[in-house]
Amino acid sequence: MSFESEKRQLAEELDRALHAMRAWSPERRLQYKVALGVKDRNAEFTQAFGGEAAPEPDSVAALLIPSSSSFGSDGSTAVLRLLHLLTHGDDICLDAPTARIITERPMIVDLLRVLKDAEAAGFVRRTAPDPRDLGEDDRDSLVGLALTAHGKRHLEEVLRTMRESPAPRVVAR
Amino acid sequence: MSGERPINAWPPSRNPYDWLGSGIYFWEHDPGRAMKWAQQRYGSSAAIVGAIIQLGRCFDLLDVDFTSKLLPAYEQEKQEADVAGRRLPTNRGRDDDVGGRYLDCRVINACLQALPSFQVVRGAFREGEPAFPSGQIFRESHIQIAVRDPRCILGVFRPT
Repeated sequence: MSFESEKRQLAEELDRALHAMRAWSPERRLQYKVALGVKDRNAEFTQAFGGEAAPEPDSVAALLIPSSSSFGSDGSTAVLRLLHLLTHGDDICLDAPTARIITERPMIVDLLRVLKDAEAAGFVRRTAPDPRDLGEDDRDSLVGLALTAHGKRHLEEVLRTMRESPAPRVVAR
Repeated sequence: MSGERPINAWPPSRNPYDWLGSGIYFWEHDPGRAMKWAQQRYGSSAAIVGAIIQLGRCFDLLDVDFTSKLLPAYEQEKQEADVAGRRLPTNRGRDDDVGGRYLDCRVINACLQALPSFQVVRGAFREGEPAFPSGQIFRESHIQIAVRDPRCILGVFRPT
């Protein structure tokens, strides 16, 4: 790939990323970023995203999850973060910040894997627009995703156990 | 920076007024300007280091393909600040150079959080007094590079 075409591709990727949430109102956009832990309620970037603010206590980034010794693989930690995010709304954005908060890496492929794991476990259900298989091409798009009653119960159970257990914990970065 | 540390232990600057957002900062091809800055800041203990930098995936602010993305990023930031009942920060400073680039830093960081795979940010800045009366060439104008991914620093050397 030539320098020019690589540069153009990079600029296009940025354009797509900046417009990822264009279908949402500014209110929903901010609410989503606060729920993730990218910004605080004053719309300031948090420390992990180039700013000085702390993530809000009810955000996914501030969620303390027991380490794998208590709740299975690292994958289940990511699934729990996804379930917690869905307590704030019925859709998610398949963008890098979401992937980073949920999986600790800004890779869409990792986020898609978590989403599929959660769906397979019956914790979430795809709602809109078309519950087809998602792939890398869906990067920076919005996906309708609802927490099922089973998923809600699972999350509540884990959160209750966490409150009662002093087990070692991991926090999303 | 003091003593000898491995490159991946160099701490990035994370000030809310950094001209190119968060990163490890360098002057491009200008060790003299770097030393002047270091002396102003650290006095007689000032020292500088040279680096060979691979620009990699570069958010190059000398390229319209990238500067054209700053307006949508700014607009998004403004909308979200409005929703929160806040104002965006302003660039401010005691002289024409406006050293505290709070707004620029915020808008650049908005781009970089949207696409974190950018490894380096590069920009040119007008700075200092006019080089001659009524001139539009300025004595301390320079190009800065902020490295976000330390792997782009291929090696370091002592400038002579």
